[in-house]
Amino acid sequence: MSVHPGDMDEFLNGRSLLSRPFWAGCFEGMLRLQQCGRCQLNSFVPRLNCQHCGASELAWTEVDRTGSLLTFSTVFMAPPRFREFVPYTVGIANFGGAQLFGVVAGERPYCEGPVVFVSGRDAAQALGPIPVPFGFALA
Amino acid sequence: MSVDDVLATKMIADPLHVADCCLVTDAAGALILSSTPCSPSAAVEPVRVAGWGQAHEHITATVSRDLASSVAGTSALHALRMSELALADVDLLQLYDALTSQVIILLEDIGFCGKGEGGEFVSSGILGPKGGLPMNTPGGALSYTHPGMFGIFTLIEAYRQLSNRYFGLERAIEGRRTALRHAIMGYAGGSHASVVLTKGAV
Repeated sequence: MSVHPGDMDEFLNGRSLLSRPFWAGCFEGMLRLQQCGRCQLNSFVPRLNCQHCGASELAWTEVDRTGSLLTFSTVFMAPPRFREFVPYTVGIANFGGAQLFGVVAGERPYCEGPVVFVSGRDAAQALGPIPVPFGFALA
Repeated sequence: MSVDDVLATKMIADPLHVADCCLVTDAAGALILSSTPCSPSAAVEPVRVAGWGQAHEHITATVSRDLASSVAGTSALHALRMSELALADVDLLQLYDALTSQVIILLEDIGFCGKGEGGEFVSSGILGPKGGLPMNTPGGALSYTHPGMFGIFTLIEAYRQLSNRYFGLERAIEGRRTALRHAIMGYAGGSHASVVLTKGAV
């Protein structure tokens, strides 16, 4: 199964209504997050209320795809679907104040190092064969 | 096991090796609480639930502000305040030890040692059966079980030790009066619950 199908409808199939703007952005290689109209901070994962101040005035906005790697770990024992790809690295990165979890591609990651959010058609090239819809490439 | 023994085991997810991770098993536990002091026999002393507390932080690891620190201290503080006891009164400890790193983080955050001093604190031997603060006296989740809900076993062991259930057995830790058990749940330890148990009736 390809995780980067050429068809937007197929890519969005099964995604929740709440998260669709994120995934639609993902498909197009963009990073969209929910920005709070009250505190202006970004939230992730998709939600109804701001994770920082609780306000319900969240609006989807395109965010700079360059972020900062907060932490990472190289996985040697993986769940069945990912077993054939070990070892691979996962991490948490900060994009515009929101934190995302994903596969980290590239040599020698380090904490607070720059990463680029990659998704859509760019994902397979940047992340290799591992079946994930988005990830972080070391900048 | 020595440090070298642990480091010689297979890597699971850097930096955690197999021996840093709990043993996943099926298991079950139960407790009976009573509002009136009762004991099954004269040799088994009653144990009092002196206080409890809880604290919650992130819902997933992704939104954790800092994976190396937790709200364990807030949870333990609530339990100790309700008990009208101080951390220094705790002479038996049962911690939720799903990972070796978690033990160090919890010891630091509850306040048994300073932040960053957990490794040295553990290495001192204070947590052993003959140390000043015996911890996880059945061996802990790292040694014998982790059904996904290990917390009940921290309560059961604290009760068994304080009530003299192990009287005459090698695993009995003599002279303990105040046990703190601290459990975590949620992804990457976002939720914490502490209970203080004391020897003797209400």
